[in-house]
Order: sequence, then structure tokens, then C-alpha cells
Amino acid sequence: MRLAPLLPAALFLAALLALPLAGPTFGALFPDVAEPLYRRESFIALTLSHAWLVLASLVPAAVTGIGLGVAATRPGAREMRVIADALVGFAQAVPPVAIIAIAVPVVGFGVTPSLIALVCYATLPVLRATTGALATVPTDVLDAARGSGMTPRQMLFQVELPLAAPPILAGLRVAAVLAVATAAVGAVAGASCLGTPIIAGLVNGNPAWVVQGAVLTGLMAFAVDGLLGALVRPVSASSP
Amino acid sequence: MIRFEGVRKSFGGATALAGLDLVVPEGAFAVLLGGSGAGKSTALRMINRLIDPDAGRVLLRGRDVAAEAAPALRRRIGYVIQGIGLFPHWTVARNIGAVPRLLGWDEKRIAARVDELLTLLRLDPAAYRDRMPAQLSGGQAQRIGVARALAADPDILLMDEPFGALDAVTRQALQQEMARLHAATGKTILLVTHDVEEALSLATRLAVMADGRLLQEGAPRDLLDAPADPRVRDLLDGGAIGMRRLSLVTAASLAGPTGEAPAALPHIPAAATGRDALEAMLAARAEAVVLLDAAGAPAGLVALRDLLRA
Repeated sequence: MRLAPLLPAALFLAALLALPLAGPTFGALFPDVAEPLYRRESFIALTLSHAWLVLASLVPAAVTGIGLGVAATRPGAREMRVIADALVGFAQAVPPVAIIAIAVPVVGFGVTPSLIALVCYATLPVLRATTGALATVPTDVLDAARGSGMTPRQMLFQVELPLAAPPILAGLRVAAVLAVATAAVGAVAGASCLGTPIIAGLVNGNPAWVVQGAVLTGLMAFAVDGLLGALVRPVSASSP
Repeated sequence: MIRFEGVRKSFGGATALAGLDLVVPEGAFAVLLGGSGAGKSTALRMINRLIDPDAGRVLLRGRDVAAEAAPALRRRIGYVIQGIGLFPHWTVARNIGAVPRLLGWDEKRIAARVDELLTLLRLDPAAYRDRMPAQLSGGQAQRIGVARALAADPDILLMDEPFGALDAVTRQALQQEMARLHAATGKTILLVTHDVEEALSLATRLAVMADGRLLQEGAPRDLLDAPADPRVRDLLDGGAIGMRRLSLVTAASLAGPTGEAPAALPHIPAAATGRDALEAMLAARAEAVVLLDAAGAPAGLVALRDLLRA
């Protein structure tokens, strides 16, 4: 039970270390390919830049999502709720590739357009989880908190956020997994990541590279999901 | 002392209070009685500024409540609600200590106060202080709710249908507990209810409301005997006005000398109500009942016809 969440992480690590040695295997699987193993950059370097991309987008996404979610649920924040709803609708409707396509002419190739797309995409689940979780705090508890003489800030930090924390963390977990999977798209705009072998494989007609990039991206998403799941569970268990 | 002066409030188009004038004397156990929509909860929640009036003012010891910042005001006023609203992520001790913590008491003083209040509400501190609210029964949770409201030793306690969600036995136990707490602490208590029995058994001052107005205010017995409005009579009567009158007097106030009471007569404590005396007579099929003082000695005799004086 304790080890189960670590299993995907272990699998990802094993794949990362084993893949550079699997050249002959891929050669046998894809006999038509001249260069069966992606060697332009090490998989470890690609993983690190992928992880950086995810972290660099997740932090602003969490801050924006939780911040907007809190602002939208404050009493008397009607306009705020409208803005948040509009943002959610926009982020839902536009796929990340489209955001990258729109961003590239404005900010150029590289990491920036990918970051913009990732932040847009990862904010949504956090925002949704935050507004949903804050709405589930019982009105009697809020009434008692107000009646006890808590200021709005004290209510937020001592009562509302602690009670809403488990679903918000679950939303962060969803956002993280989404970000890992979506970050691969960043390779389209030239960001170095686990999507790079996929794009390079597609461009050069090399299916072996596509498989290598896809397997690592998928396993990394599983690993992040497992690790964050292990983090979220003890938190929700401590607040029955 | 709490004073409402011409207080009006409407929500959207609906009028909740249509000019309320009411005085709650210092140290009273005042009950606001009325049906739903009478405006009684709205009135109560104006005292700690959970609702602000559209017009008129609410005075606490002569001072307009609007003159003070709402959080500071609320920390001086105990507040108990039907839904209890214990903070589910905090222990019983942390819940009770909520207001003292807001006031910046040190931990030692808070811990001592928590144990004192648990004892006052007849809960063993060692067994309860570290429990989570989910581990409490409804009655225990509301005892903690009352303890939390009393924690910072407020002069005034506001209670909004506090026992409405509890079963009959638990409700009665907590009602007796509140009467005892009121007698022991002398705090001004304002309780809102739609339950006539509850109102009559607890109130030293009874205020009946309907349609956002005060219909009548006074000692419960005066309202029973001389209702100023047909709606007051209808509400208080409920087909049981005789029994209600009986439940407002002590058996001792109806008693004559013991004389040579037959040993077979039933016994009740002298502090019991006239209603208890009638119940004891009916139960034993006897025409009189003997009152016993605290030491268990006969202190008087109530005969069936004595009850007519109630």
C-alpha cells in the first residue's frame, strides 16, 4: 500500500536508465530506420528540461488558479466570478497547440510560448477545484466563524482553506499530470523536452524516436500522478 | 441591556423587520418567540452585526453596535446556532478556545479555560478535549457549541434555535442546562425559538413576534394571562393553556401545610412545577402529592384543588 504510489516513479526511472542501452532492441523493432536511438540530447537532459517546463508553469498556474478561485468566492465578488468563468471557458475551448500557434508570432520560438500554453491549461483544473472546494465549506461553519469574530482573512486562512485543502490539492495533482502530458507539445515551438524526440521522429520519418519520447512522457505523467497522490492522501487523512 | 429602536430590514422585496422596538433587561433570559418569517432570527443577528439594519439602531448598554468594528464586537458576544457549526478540522479544545485565541490569550490560560468550560457543561475534560467534532453526538456537539460561545466570558449570549435539531430527550437536558447556566452566571441570554414549550420553560422575559413586529413583551405568566393580541393568545394557547400555566409555577407556591398526610401519597421535590405535581397525582391516582425538601423531609402538601390557584 505504501509502495504502490512509488511504483510508477520507479518504472519511469528504470525506463530512463534502460532506454540508452536499448538501441539494438529498437533496431530490431524498426529495421527500416537508420538511427534507431535518439541521441541528439540525452534522455536525462530532456527529462530535466521537461520537468523544469512543468514546474515553471505549475507554480504560476497554482497561484493564479487558487487566487482567482478565492477571489471569485468572496461575498460580493460578482464581477470576479464572471471573469473567472470567462477565463475557464476560454481555457477549455482553446487547445494548447492553438495557444502555442497564437503565441509564437508574438513572443517567438522557444520556451515562452510553451509556458504560456501550459499556464493557461494548468490553471483551469486548479481554479475549478478551488471554487468547488470553497463552496463545500458548510454555511453553519462559516456563520459560526463570522459570529465568533473572525475577520474575513482569518476565516479564509484558518477555516476555509484548511477545509478546502484536500480537493484543491487533488486539483493541483490533475494540473500537474496535465502539464506533464501537455509539455510535450512544447517541442512544436522549439522548447527542449520529452516531446522533442516525438517531433523530430515525425519530421524525419523515424517512428522509433516517436515511441521513445511518448513512452517517457507517459511514464513521467504516471510517476507524477503517483507521487502527488502519495502526498495528497496524508493531508486529507489528517482533517477528518 | 439590549435595545432595539425602530429597526427595519428587508431582503430584496421581503420585509423581515417592520420597525422593531424591544428592550432586553440586563441579566434576563429573554426568549424571542414567533413562527417562521416573524423576523426573530434577523433581530438576533443584528445584535452581533451579522446583519445591519436598513433603518433604526441596536444599542448594547446604550452604545450603538454600529459604532464598533464587527469582529471586535462579536468577540464580546457569545453566539450559538442551530447548525452548531463546530470547526470540523479542529479538536474540541481548539474549538472552545477559538475566541480566546482571537483575543490573544496565552496558551496556558486558554487550556485552563477549556477545561473549566468542559466541566461546567458536564463533559469530562480528559475524555473530550482532544476529540474531533465528528466523534461527538448531536447533544455533545451543541454542549461544545455553548462552551465555545462562553469561552471568552461574554456578558451576552445569543442563541438562534440552538436545540432545534436535537432529539426531545437531549433537547430537554440542554434546556435544563441553560437554565442552570443562566442562574449560575447571571449572563444576559437572548434565545430565538418557535417552540412555545421551550420558550415558557426558559424565559424570564418573553417577546412574541409576528410579521417583523413585536406583538407583546413581558413575564411569561403575564402573556399567558393577558395576551395583548389574538395572535399571542393563539400562539401561547395551543390547546394547552392550563397546563402551560401550571408549568410556570413551582409546586411549593401552591402547597398547604403537610398535616397528617397519608403515607401512600406520592412524593416530588419541592422545586418541581405544578405540572409535575399534577403528573405525579395522575400517575399514582392520588388526590394529593407530598413535597420533599432538599433533605428529603416533607415540606408541604399539594392537593388537586390547589392546582386551580395556578
